[in-house]
Amino acid sequence: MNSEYDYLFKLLLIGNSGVGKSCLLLRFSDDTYTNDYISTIGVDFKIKTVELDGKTVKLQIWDTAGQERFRTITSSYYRGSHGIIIVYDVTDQESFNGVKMWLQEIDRYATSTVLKLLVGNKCDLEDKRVVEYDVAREFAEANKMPFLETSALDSTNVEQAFLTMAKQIKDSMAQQHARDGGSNAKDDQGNVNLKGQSLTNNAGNGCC
Amino acid sequence: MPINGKEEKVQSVVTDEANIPEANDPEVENVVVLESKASTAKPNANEEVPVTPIDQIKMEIGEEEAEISGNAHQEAKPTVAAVDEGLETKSQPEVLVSGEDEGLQGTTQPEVPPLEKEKKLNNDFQPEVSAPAKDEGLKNLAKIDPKPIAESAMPDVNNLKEEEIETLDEGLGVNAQLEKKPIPEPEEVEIINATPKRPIPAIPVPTTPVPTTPVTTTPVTTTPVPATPVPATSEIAAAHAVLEKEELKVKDAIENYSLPPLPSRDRIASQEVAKTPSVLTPGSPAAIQSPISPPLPKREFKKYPVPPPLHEEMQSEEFRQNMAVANGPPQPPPRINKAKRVESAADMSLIVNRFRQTSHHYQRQDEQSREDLERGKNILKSSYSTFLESLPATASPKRLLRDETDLAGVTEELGDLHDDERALIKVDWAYWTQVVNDFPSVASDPEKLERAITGGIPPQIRGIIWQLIANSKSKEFEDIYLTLLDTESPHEASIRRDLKRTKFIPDDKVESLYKVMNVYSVYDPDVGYTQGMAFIATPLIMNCETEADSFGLLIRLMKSYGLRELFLPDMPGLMLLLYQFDRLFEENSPQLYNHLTRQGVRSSMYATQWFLTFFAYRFPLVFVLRIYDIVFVEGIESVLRIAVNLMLKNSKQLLQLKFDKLLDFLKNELFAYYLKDSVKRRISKVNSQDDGSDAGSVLKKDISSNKHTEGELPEITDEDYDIDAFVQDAMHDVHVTPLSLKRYSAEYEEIHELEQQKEAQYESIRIKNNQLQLEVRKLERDYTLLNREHVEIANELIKNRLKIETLIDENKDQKSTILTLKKELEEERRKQELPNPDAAIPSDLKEDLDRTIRRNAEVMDANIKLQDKINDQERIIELLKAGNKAGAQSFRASKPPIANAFTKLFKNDNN
Repeated sequence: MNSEYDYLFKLLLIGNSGVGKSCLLLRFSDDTYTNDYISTIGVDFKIKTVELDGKTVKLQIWDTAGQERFRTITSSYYRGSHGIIIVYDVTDQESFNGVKMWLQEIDRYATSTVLKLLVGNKCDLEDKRVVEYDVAREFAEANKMPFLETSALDSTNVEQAFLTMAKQIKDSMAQQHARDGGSNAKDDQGNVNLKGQSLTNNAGNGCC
Repeated sequence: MPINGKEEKVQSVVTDEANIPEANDPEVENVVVLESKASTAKPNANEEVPVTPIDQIKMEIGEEEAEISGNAHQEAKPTVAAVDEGLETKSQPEVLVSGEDEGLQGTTQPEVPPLEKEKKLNNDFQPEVSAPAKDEGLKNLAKIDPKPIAESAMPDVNNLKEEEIETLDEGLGVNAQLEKKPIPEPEEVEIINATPKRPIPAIPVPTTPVPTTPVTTTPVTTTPVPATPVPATSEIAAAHAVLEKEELKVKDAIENYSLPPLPSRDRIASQEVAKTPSVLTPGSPAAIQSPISPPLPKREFKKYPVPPPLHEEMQSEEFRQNMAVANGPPQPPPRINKAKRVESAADMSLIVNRFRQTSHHYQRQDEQSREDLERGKNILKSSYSTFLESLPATASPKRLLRDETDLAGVTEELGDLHDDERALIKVDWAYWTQVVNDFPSVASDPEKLERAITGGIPPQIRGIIWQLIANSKSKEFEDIYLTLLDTESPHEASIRRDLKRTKFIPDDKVESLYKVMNVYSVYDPDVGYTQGMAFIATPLIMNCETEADSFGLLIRLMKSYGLRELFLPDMPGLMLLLYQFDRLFEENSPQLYNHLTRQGVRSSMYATQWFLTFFAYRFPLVFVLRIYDIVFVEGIESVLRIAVNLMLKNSKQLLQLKFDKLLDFLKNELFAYYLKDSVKRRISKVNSQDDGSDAGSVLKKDISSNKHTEGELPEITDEDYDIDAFVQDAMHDVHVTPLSLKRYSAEYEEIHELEQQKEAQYESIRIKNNQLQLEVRKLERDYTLLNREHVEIANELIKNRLKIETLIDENKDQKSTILTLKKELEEERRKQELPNPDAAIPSDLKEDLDRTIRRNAEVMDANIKLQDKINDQERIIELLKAGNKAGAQSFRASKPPIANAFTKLFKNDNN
């Protein structure tokens, strides 16, 4: 079963209603675009397998309803996710303002190690843009997450967005691995502590 | 209807009595309550006793019995009062009393004629009379009572009673057997005795003999105790009259009565002795016993434990009657059952349940709204009839009243007609007319309604029927709609955004959808707008003439059908439905349920969109409309059976799929099962031509991506689905009862509550955790700080220790120095302590010595000087000598040098 792929990453798409999460996913998974994609009710789901650094990575991508009250349904998908893509609409300030709220949701429901990516969609609508690239980038930096602007319509950066996410996850896994492997660092710390203790003891002895 | 508990109680009482000779004990309890009454009764009994002609009897019976009877009176009343259960229970004690009264009367009456007594007797009788009057009434009574009267002898009475009892017993026996009652015969006999009277008031059916009916109908009734105390007033009056007559007769009989009771008594006594001595005392006259409500009957029974020979018994008319009753149809108590039936039907059938809710809802409305609704109904009716008139002649009015069976034939005749027309003709318009005109009566036959719905509501009148069934057309809603139409909704943006992202909405209806959604979001601010609502509203709009109509339907669906719960902020209704779905699914196909669970597929992943959109999210319109038909008739719970049915029908494929494909299939291909076979073949053919691989997922190309290429796959239209089969399966293959749903929802409530508690707990723990983490971080910071300090201190300490070491060393050095010094000092001291040679010399001597020394020094100096002089002299001498020698030699030459040398020398001397 695992032979089909080297990694399985679970991604989650969140963001206000109508920012184009489903279109983004459709573009990525099927390379198609529909203008009148029906609004997502509950959660939808797509699979896409990509190559990354010579490894086969299977992406299991959950697309969620944007409306806040669907949180009862969607919140349970945060926990299992390796990466969460927060999407906003560059032509909709409110959707960008909502990103903060979505970050809180992530804090609340996802594991602390989950990786985040900020995506400003609909960047093809340059004339309607209200969220400037720099503003968003600064925001992303402040929140320590990578940032991309995409267009599901003309496929700009769509693939990159998902691949960035995947890469991030893979790297962090590697790091994690390294960290686990190099647990000596922690031991050192432990030693320091021990030393401290022993010193204390000595001091005590000295006192005596 | 007596309750089991009651029955048990009664039985226990009876048994108690049987065991207790006095048989008073069980009664006593009851008596306590009604003591006052008892007291009144007693005096009578006592009075009577002394006066009665049948002194012997009385004597034999003993005062105890009299007392008992008195007690019984009292007791009977209390029991009656105590028993809320119903008429039956109440009646019984009274009946007994009456019996007793008879007996008493026989004995007492001659002597005690006071009105009061009579009255009392009357009262006592009353129930008895009333009971028979009700049913067969007098007939029974006449049969029972007349005999004793005719015989006019106590023993006879006793016998008669006995016989009666026995016959009854037999009857009961039959019943008892049916009921499989473990109770000993005697008790039953008593019961029977009591029962005849008792059942009468309770059971309205006159034909059935009183005693058996209660027993047969309800096992509980077998116990004699509970009798209905409240006969209908008219009946009571009639009974009264009868009773009075009877009373007179009895009086006569008593007056005429001459025979001593002894024989009967003997008989009784012997019998009693055989069984239980205790019974003897109270039991002698059946009449007396009867008054005592539950325990007395037992006694009686004991008195006559051995029934008369069967053939004798069989000859008695009563026996025959009883048998007839016993063997007759078990006559369910209709009143109670009817109510129950409605109740239970509502428990078992979604349709009934739904209809009941709708009508309850209707009844709760105020006058005005009801009027509006009625008016709305009429409007719908008239538009329906207008529609009927517009039907082609072949289809409509003529055939309106035609039977379904006829219809089949007709359609064949009309084979050459256009498809649409044929469809029209196939419709059972008569039935739908009935639905339109009198839905309540239609709803009372849920099976037929179900069949009709299974066939689908004719699309032409779909909207009308929906509105009629949901009772949604009302001026009230129209007014609301019009008033709120221009109100701005806070959800406007989201609604607008979703308009085009809704399935099935034709372009020309988009604005209507917007308005309806907008108005609803204002009308119900708690719900506002939730995604999915537009999907729900679309078919409504498509099937209603006006937006207001669809708005009314939407309100009904939301508020009275409970759909609203699904769209509230936390979606409680959806969660409940999902839970119910899980349980139903699990119940219907544990295997598939397990498979999905193991694959990690939860119902919320695929069924959310089914329930929130009534399947409109992915299913073709033709399915959706039919689902709406069902929903309107059965309530929104019917989506459960539709969903479960789909799962069951596809289980073969689902069982083979793994997570990814499974989910895909669940979302997109479930309904492909209902493609008509011909279509399936067509598609699989095309598929196999294409690549042959994807045979399993017939619809994949067509549905999951909407861009299928022409020619590759034939377009699948609504006609390609066997939609009737879909509905039929959903209705017949999955059984969903409101009862089970209620159970599930109770379960869910429990679970949900627990979950919420857990959630709250989790939340508080999370918060606490955050705080603790902060604290930990702070502590860690503090710790590092301390650690650093510690290290510094430690280093300092080391330094200090080194210093100490050096100091110690130094100290050691110092110490050793000190030691040597000390030693030296010691030496010094010791030296000093040695005797001083100078010390002995007297001071003057010392001075002398000093002087001498000084002198000596001077002398020495002088000496040294002299010495020096000597030395000089010597040297001079030397020189002189040398000069002499030289002079001698040079004397000859010159003598001057010597002269010089001398002069020099002398000069020096002078200096």
